[in-house]
Amino acid sequence: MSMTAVLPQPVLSALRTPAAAVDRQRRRWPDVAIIMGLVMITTIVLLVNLHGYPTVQDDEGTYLSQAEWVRAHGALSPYTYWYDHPPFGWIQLAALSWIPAFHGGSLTVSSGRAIMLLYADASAALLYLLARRLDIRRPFAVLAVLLFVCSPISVTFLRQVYLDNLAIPWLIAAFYFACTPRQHLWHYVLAGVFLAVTVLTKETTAILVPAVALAGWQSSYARTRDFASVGFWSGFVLICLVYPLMALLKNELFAGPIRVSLQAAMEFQFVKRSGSGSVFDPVASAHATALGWVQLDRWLLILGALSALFALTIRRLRPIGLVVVLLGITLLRKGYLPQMFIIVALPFLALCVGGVVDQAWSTTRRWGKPARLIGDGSLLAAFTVGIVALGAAWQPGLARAFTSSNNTEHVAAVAYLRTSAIPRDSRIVVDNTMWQDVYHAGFSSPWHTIWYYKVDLDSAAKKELPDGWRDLDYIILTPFMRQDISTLGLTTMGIAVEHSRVVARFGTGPAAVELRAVTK
Amino acid sequence: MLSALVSAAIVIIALTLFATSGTNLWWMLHAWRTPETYHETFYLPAMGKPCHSFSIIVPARHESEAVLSATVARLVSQTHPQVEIILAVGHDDPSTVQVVQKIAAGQPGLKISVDQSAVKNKPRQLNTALADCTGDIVGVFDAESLAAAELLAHVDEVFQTSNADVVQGAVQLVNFQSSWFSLRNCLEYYFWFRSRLHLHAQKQFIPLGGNTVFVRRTLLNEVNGWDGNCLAEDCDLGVRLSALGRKVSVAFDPRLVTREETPDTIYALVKQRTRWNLGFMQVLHKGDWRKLPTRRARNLARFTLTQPMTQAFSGLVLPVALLTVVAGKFPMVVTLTSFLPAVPTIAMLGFEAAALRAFGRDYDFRIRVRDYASLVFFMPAYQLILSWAAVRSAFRFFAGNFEWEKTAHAGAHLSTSATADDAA
Repeated sequence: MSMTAVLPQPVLSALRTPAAAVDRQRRRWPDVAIIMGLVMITTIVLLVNLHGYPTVQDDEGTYLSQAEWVRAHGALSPYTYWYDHPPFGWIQLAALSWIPAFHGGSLTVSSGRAIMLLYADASAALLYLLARRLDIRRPFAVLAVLLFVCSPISVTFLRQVYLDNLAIPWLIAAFYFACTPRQHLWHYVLAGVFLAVTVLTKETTAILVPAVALAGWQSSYARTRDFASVGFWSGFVLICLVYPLMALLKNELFAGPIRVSLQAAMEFQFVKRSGSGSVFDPVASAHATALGWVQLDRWLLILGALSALFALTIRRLRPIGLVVVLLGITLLRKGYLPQMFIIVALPFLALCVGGVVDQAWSTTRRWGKPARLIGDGSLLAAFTVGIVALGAAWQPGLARAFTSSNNTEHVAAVAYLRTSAIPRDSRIVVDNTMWQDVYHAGFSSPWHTIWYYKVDLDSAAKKELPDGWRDLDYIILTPFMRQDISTLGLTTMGIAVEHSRVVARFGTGPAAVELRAVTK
Repeated sequence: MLSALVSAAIVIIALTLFATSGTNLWWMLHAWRTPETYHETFYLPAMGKPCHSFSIIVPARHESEAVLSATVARLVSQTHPQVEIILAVGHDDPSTVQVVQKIAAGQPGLKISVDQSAVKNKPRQLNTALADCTGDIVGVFDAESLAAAELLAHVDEVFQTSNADVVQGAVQLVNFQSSWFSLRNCLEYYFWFRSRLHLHAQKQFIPLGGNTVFVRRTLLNEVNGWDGNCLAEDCDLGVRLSALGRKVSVAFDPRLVTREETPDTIYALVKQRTRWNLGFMQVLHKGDWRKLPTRRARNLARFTLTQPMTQAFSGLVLPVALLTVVAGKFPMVVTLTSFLPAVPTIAMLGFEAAALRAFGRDYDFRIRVRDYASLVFFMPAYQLILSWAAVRSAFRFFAGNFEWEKTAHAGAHLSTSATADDAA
């Protein structure tokens, strides 16, 4: 701390001359144009056949119905909120619930996917900006974003109403601010705040906190680093505390005999929830899940993972590589592995590829002329072959995404029910892919339109359904529900299905959806 | 209906507290905002030749020879060639007069100024001494402060390079381990001189300090020196010069700070704080800040001059508000909002810890774990002391209201209600 530490005055003043600012503005124009193009591409690849592909999932309906409850009833869920996830994801959905109206469609869930477009667009734009902050050249930044949004795995998962999709733009924004070139204290605070929003949107992203912290550490100025760190961590921790504070105020922080609690939910999510086994064990469900990803797009996964290992050796890319590595470790830990686990990895896998290609390009820049020509030539060749091969590999997956109609059975079931003569005071069990549609068809209470999961697992079920399965009148049985009843051991639901007969069947084969009447 | 009104009130209070403490926190952190702001707070290396002459006034009252001669010794041994020192005393304080005569006897460059006015205070002694000054620049040093030998050379350089009318040097309390409150007291000075004052200089509203402050003599004479009736004559001078649009430079270097000591008892601290609070309120009341050129600077002035009071009172309001909300039944959103002001308050603790580390590095002090612990642990108690001083000064302000109306700079154009508003 001495006067020798003073930056030479000309350097300081050069930083803020108007000419420099104008120059920066001018250089931003191509970036703005590129971002607009990328956003357009993202919108197109996701919007085409958004209703038809992929098959609507129970979880999508869960978040959308909870969002509806936030908006219309000021409560966190139609059923007892049990801290399964922090509610901030579907609070965002609630705030954006005006979007699906522009999208139309006869299934509430597939219409709700329109909100995901906004998040995917934001993710694409932010990923490009982050790539530029990491000094990745424009073409390679574009490459990263295109790998991210056009991979069949993204075109499948980014469409779905998952909390992970809501979390990624916040996460990329956190990285963006953590990599601030101006090293501004406020940017570190924002990075912490955005990271907190990420974690409050999907709690599993908490494992990525070290990667953002590393990014902030690397970018910060040594002499103001303590303050930057305090800014980052107070932004992160103090915003995160909202969640336990909320639980505390509701007297639901710690477990009690008859109440839901954050503590019990955390124990379930992180300790008690049965793992999905090893991804390498052919009979484990983790294997099936991973296989599903590989079938969609093995190339992004393989190239991304290899690039991530390289990225760890390059200072500017290290935090991004660390994201992939942290997720990889989690993957191998044999914990609970849901399908959507891969979503958060996607932008960072793509960014690692773009970053490593950029690094290779930088390396050949430093070579002498003949070597450089050979280097550039082979890079260009590898690039062209890669693009062609990737296009061929992606073709079937993208074709399916753009044309297949996976939800006709659900649409038919809902259409049937809307016009059916079934008395509206009947109790009808559905999965959440149809919950809102059935609810709005006139079965207007959470205990008349009943999510099957809650029949056995909600703390309020004993009161609402005193006679157990005999209180139920109809079941709309989907393949997913049938499978869940046996894997989760939902006994009341199992008995109800046994004591029911088919009234109507929609579709054929394994995808068929049945309307069944409970026979008492 | 009623509960909706109460909810609205809680939300408004919470947002106001959040905004004020957040803004205060943000301003305190000015120096560490970006690498540029960090470096801008330093002196430039003194490379030019000295070209100003200095008159340094040391006001003294009831001072011992030991303290005063140490102060003078540091001033006499300045590397700057043209320094005259004026020891300013009062005629009713014969023991100090004797002390300064003894000190001056051994030193040719020393002058003595004896103030004859009936009511004695620091600004009057300063004004009397100002008449004897001959240097281009007049500086003030408290009787118990230790100046660095190269200080004036650097200050001269700042006057030359920045074309400033006023230069404020840094003062630092350094005995952070002598009591539980001295640590926080030292940190307050550190935040103020290391960081916050630089923001004030940049935003063109600055409450000057009373020590290690340098003003061009012609300018001081133009504005008739210090306000002889103001408890915070230093702050007042800063406000008046800011209102005239005069340029103030602030510079920091840990090796050039003037070192002082914290008050040695809690009561002394409370008394000192009461005087500052009252002084700030008096300056606010005088209203010179209303002549500041921009609305932004006026807002900064209003915020800064009321801040000792708002900060102390919000320290009282926040816990009470939180207890009310937790005890009562309010919608979750309202309850969560009421916790918002806790965010900057807790973040402040973290930043104080970071500042304590920087303080240790700047001054080569070893900061122990227990110092960090005491920083956190005694925060509420220190806050109580500040609140005590605030309440005390509020009482004095209203009790002394009549007296003030008689004085020349009392701002008689202001109504009593405006006074109450400003003070609140």
